[in-house]
Amino acid sequence: MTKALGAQSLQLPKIGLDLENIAAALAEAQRTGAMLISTLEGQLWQLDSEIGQAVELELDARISGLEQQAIDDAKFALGQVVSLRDGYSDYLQKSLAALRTDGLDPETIRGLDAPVQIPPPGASAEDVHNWWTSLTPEERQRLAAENPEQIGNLNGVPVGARSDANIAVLTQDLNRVCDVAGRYGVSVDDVVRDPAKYGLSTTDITRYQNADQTKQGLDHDAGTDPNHPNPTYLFAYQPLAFGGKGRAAIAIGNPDTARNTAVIVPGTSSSVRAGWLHDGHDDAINLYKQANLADPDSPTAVLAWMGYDAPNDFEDPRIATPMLARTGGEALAQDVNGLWATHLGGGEHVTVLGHSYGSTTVADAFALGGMHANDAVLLGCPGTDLAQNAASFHLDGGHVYVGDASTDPVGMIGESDGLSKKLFGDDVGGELLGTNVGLGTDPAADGFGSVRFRAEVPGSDGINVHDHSHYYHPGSEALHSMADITSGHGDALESDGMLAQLRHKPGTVNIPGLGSVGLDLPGVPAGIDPEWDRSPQSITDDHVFDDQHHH
Amino acid sequence: MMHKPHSAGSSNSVDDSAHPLTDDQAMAQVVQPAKEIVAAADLQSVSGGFSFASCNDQGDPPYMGEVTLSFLLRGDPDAYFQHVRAAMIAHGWNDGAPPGQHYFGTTLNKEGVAASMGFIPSDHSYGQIMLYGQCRNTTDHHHDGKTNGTDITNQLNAR
Repeated sequence: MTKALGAQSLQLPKIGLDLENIAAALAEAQRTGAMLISTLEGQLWQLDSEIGQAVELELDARISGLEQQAIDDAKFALGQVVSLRDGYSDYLQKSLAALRTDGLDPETIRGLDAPVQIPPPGASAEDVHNWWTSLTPEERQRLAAENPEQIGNLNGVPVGARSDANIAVLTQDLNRVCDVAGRYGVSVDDVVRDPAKYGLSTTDITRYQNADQTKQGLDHDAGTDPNHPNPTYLFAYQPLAFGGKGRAAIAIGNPDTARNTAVIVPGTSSSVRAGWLHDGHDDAINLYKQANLADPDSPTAVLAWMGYDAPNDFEDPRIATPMLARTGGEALAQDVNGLWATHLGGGEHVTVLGHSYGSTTVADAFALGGMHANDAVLLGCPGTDLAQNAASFHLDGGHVYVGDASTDPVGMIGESDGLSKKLFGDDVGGELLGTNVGLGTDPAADGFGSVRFRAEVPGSDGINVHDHSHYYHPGSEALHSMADITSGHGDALESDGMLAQLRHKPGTVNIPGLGSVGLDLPGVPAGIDPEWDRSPQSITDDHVFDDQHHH
Repeated sequence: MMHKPHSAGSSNSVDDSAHPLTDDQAMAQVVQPAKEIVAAADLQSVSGGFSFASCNDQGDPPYMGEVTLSFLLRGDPDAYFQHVRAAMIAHGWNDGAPPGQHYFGTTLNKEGVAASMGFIPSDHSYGQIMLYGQCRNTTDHHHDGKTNGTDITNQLNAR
């Protein structure tokens, strides 16, 4: 037995690699399977709604056509899932055979080492945290070394441990390509251009590229002072997610020990692949600096969360529907709720901030995903989708804060009375699927129940699409307000001169066939905005005096 | 385009490309005053870095120069911050933020540059000054690596 174990111990690195590959194949199969099922679900919803309409119109031929389509869609999806399962099963069998060839008989060691089971998907963050803290340090280390992709993205595992696991995976993703380049004496670019020539796959290259983007994000968020880097943590890392756009989240400061945590969610065209984590993007670092100056005794950690599939650009048709916001909102809710499970010490204060399409995602995370946070901040919000008013956020004493420059056209898209639906039509199927055009209500409007802070753009003299992109600018009204809010001092907005009045409606008019509706049409300034009329002096007045700390 | 009733022809615009600065000029706009502050306040255990920071959240031009300057706090921190502030004022800095800007911490300004001073968040035995320049550097730094940091510790300590 001793001899057998000794021989097998030599095989451990190889076995580890095999297991890792098996885990990766399983994770990939699970991900693809979930995607297929969700697509099928969408198709069936749509067909169901069409069948409903056809029934009303008594179109028998159309109905049987649609029914056949539903059957076909289901068959196709089932076929895909079965083939996926077979693929994984084959891989597993092959790996086991390879292990036996290498001299390992799984039966020999079974029972010698009772495996620690990772909680199944769907386990609550609290359960995961209880499980994790019940493990010995050795068990934790071994689990993280053997399943870094799982542990690194498992809500309920402390931020430090998941960061270590994620950085281990990131390092492998970088080294896989760099090592090959070194071995062949070529540049990394050569390998990236033609991976097959060097025995690598396009997947290896996607992993490498998103690892590189993420590593640059970690470096960027560490700041520029070489002797005092900001502490950073890789909270989430899934380089192949979202069709290769990648999923990652970087914390500046440790959310488990900081009293305040601010989670920031970006909007359209943001992704790991496109460089949102670095490349001149300073939202997180600017907020981290100012929030910690606002209250140095109550530290604020900032989590830059690139955890959802944002619309690719302003041409992406998905930008006009809340579909991606709802899917993203569910994921955001799980990550944020996990923060509560791992936080050490009481009195935690969590703010979730969304910009542009990301603010719709934040609203849906509260309304649909059951996200638990103290305060919400919506910046340049095109609409709050399923959150019809502040009550939908269930903030438990906190506030929905809105930052919306009067010259930012995106903030005007949200409707205050559902007028666009009356004008453009609506259907229940589309409502359920989130495929209807329009993102919902304007939270800066009177009646929503929000608190609006000042967010005007100095130097701006009219509606300008660029005014959608300055909310985190150092020295701006908006960043100043968000530093107050995220450091736990939203109540200081008034004394800091940062409260803004809400937009309100000028009245209603009667349109034949529609009845009484508000004057605010989508795409034009929604009603009356008191911020529009502020004199430049009041925007450029210096409200701030020396050493303004909130202790 | 619809115009606001009061056109804000402000000098602290988020886009002052009309008065462009080269990379060297934008860097000098904040590194030069950082060196002066180190000397004027006789700061100890100094380190720092420089980067170009985009003036919008898309990483696009224009950019401003940005310096992070760290130093050891000696004695009572509040008294030491006041000592640094007094030294800066003696060298032509004004109390408070540049017109129209808002910062927490001890805030001063000089010739369009804002200085925001307080503790290093992760280590309160050190102080830190952030220096923010004007949005006048029109080079596109998207892929040249200059939005990442440059170590300027040696420059700051050369007296």
